Amino acid sequence: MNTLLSRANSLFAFTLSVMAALTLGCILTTAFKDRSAPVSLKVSRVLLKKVEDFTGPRKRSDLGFITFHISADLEKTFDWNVKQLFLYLSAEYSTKSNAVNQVVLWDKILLRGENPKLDLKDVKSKYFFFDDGHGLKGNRNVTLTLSWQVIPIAGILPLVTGSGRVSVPFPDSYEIATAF
Amino acid sequence: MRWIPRTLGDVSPLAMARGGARGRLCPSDTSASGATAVGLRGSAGRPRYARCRAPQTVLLKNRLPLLCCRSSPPIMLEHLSSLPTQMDYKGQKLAEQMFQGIILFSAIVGFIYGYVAEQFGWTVYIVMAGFAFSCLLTLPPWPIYRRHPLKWLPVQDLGTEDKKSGDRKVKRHAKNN
Repeated sequence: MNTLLSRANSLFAFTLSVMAALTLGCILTTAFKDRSAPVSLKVSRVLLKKVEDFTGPRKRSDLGFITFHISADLEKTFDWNVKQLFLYLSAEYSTKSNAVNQVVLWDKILLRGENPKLDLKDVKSKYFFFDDGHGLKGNRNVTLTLSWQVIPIAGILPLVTGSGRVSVPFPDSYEIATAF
Repeated sequence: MRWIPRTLGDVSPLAMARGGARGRLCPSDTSASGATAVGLRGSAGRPRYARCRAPQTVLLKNRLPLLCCRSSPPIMLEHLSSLPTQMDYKGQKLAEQMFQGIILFSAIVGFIYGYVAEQFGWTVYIVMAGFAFSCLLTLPPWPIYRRHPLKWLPVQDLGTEDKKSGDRKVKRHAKNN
């Protein structure tokens, strides 16, 4: 502690240790918090097409187009340890070739400070809803769920599924839209 | 161009008194710059400003360019290294306690404020402010840290010194052999 530089060194190291302890305190205050919230989903329009699949082998596969409404209140999930929420809407169904198929149709990044009450109408899917074959045609049960990943300032990133989900049957023929 | 005294001999009290009226000092007015004074008398008819200009170039030719500014870099470094940065032991302990206390206090205040305001950014800002404040308070050797200086032993007298140098001579011979 005799020279100016050694004093500066110990001061800086002490500050960093204190910062690390504060960050640990921040993690502990929000580690066991329940981050789920009620979600209400509605599907308004479903359309099925048969298109050459560019994402895999070049054969004609089913391509679905879904338009939906989302409303959710995510205010309780935001606290001082949340930087942003990554929301995504996924469709889950089963076919003859695969037991479980999950496709992400739409996502959104919700920063802290933006309006946490979501009320979106007539949202079109952002990503292609390709099936690996012809499993969507006449599928009785395609379930849509909204999930989110909490991105904290410090700590573990929990993945939470919203409570509301909606099941929609797909049409039996191509190029005919069904409205709900 | 701002006039800076070239050597210490350039500025004499006489020149200061005369130069005060104009707000500028002229090396031509001093009696110390003897070498340049001879060359100046010939140019008495020229205006004051020109007289100030000419002797500076003459000065550079006659004298070595010893200093280019008020205190050149080597002299400044000497001044900096001779500035006291030492604290005595009690002062060091006091400084360490002070900065630890300040940073811990700012950490607690920052944590509570950040939790209440729901922004961790405020916690970080408050801790950084505490760090800056404790830097200011404990890094420079303020006089409060130098209130208990070390008591060095008095200088030893000559008798023991001679004896020591004699011992050293004997040892040197032994090494050479």
